[in-house]
Amino acid sequence: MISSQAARREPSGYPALEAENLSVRFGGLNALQGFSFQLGYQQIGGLIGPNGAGKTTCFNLLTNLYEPTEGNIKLFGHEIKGAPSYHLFRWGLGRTFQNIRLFHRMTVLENVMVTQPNSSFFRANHQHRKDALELLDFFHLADQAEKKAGSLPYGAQRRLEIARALAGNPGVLLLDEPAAGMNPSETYQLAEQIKEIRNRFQVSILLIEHDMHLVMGVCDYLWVLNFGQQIAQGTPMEIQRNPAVIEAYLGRKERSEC
Amino acid sequence: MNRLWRKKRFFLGGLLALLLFVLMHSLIQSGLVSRHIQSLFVPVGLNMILALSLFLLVGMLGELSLGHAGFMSIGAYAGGLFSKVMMHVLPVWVRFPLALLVGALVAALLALLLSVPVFRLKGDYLAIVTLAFGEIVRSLVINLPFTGGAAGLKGIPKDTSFSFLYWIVVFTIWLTRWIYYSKIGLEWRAIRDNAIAAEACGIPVVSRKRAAFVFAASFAGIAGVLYSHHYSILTAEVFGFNRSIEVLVMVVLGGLESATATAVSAFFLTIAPEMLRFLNQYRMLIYSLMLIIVMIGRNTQWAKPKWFQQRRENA
Repeated sequence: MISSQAARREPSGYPALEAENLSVRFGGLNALQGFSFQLGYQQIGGLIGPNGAGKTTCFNLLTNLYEPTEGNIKLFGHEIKGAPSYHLFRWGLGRTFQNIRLFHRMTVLENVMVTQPNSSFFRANHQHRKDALELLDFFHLADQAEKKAGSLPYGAQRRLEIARALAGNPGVLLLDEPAAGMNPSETYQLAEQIKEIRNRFQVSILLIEHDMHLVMGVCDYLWVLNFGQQIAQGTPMEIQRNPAVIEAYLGRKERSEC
Repeated sequence: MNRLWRKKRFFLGGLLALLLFVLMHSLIQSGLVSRHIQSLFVPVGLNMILALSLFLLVGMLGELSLGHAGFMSIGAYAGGLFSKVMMHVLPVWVRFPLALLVGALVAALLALLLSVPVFRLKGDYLAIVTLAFGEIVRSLVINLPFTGGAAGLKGIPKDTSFSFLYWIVVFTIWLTRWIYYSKIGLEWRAIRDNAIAAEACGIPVVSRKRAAFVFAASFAGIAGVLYSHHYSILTAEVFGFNRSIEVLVMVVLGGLESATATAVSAFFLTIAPEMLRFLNQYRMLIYSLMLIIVMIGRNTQWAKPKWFQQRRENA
């Protein structure tokens, strides 16, 4: 079990998050096949691919919502197999969801406070409230702390979901389409914010995203999936020039066009 | 809401409770309150405790339980039998608190046993299982050799006094409010709002649900002990399905958002049928109509004054 904060912050020879030969089958469908990756300390990794490529399936495997048919996953060098989802959060794996899953009838502040670690079993103390407000301030939500989470505008709800995951002081943050439904200027702000999050909270980030401006601007390293298989990996520059990726997104060129 | 304000409110609430207590006590002593009104105090108090304990489950945890009266019944019989056996052994000031403890513990224990299989289920299924549980308790009580059967359990010492009940109700209201904002209350509400996200946010959903179930059951058990030590006679029929539903109606009418509102709703729904006695045979008809109108009105805009809506939004 990973208990000390130091273990999550200092490189210990292990990658922050690592998957080996990850496969899952649903009936006859190979949703993910032999996918391996390593996410380094404070690296921002991107998982991209067309619809139905197996990206969200991969996230659900990483958070133990699904059990892999084959392969294993290591968080800071520790096997996560069989651990219940809530343990993973305590071990430092925070996530957001593609379709926002906030605690919508609770206030914004309560949404953050509920995930804070080590707050006393019964009453959160003054320090926890202060920490939570500080975190909300970083996400420009402090002035709406007493509002119901469900009443926030869409973009703010997305930010709150990230804040909620960060309140648990994770070492690895999984973001499932953080820019979905955002307009270009909001997406730009989000990109800046993701980089800031990495530096300020010292987390490794793995994100799924369809917005290529965001992905290319933010990520250090990319893995491309198509039909459950990895078709490419590399830095954003390499990926942009990779013919297999271009084919997966745009289709093959007809010979007659040449 | 900062700490100072919370402290202030705690003392204000305590002061208000004390003033109300002195007022009611002196009214009873001076004989200004009729016997009829006095006989309402106990059902009002008991319903408040019951509604608040069910509020934990339905309001905070968001799980529907239709067998809450079953736990009250268990508490009532456990505490009642204990007091009957110990009647001539222990003085009242030892016996009664112990009876409350016994009632609460036995109800909690059974809730713990039930919660192991029950929380493999969700929503409607959970409601059906708890409904069945309530019926099992009722038929067991009728058929077991030591509960007095259908004739009822008689001769339980009348230990529940007005002041004791009053302070237990005040304590329950305070405790429920406190739990609502405590860490475990936050976790329960998180589970209510989104169980998948709650699990992903480090909350062990199933064990937290069990905790809520056991806690609510033990408070229902305490209400049962108070009941048996007031009326001195117990029959299984009192704790039937109807009673579970009655309490559920109080909780739902209270709005599922606030402990205080639940207590107020329990108060009005308990006295309403009594206040309508002058209608004779139309009493329950009018009561039901009232209930329907209030339930519809609760969710429509015209029923709420403007300032109230704004306050809710800011809260």
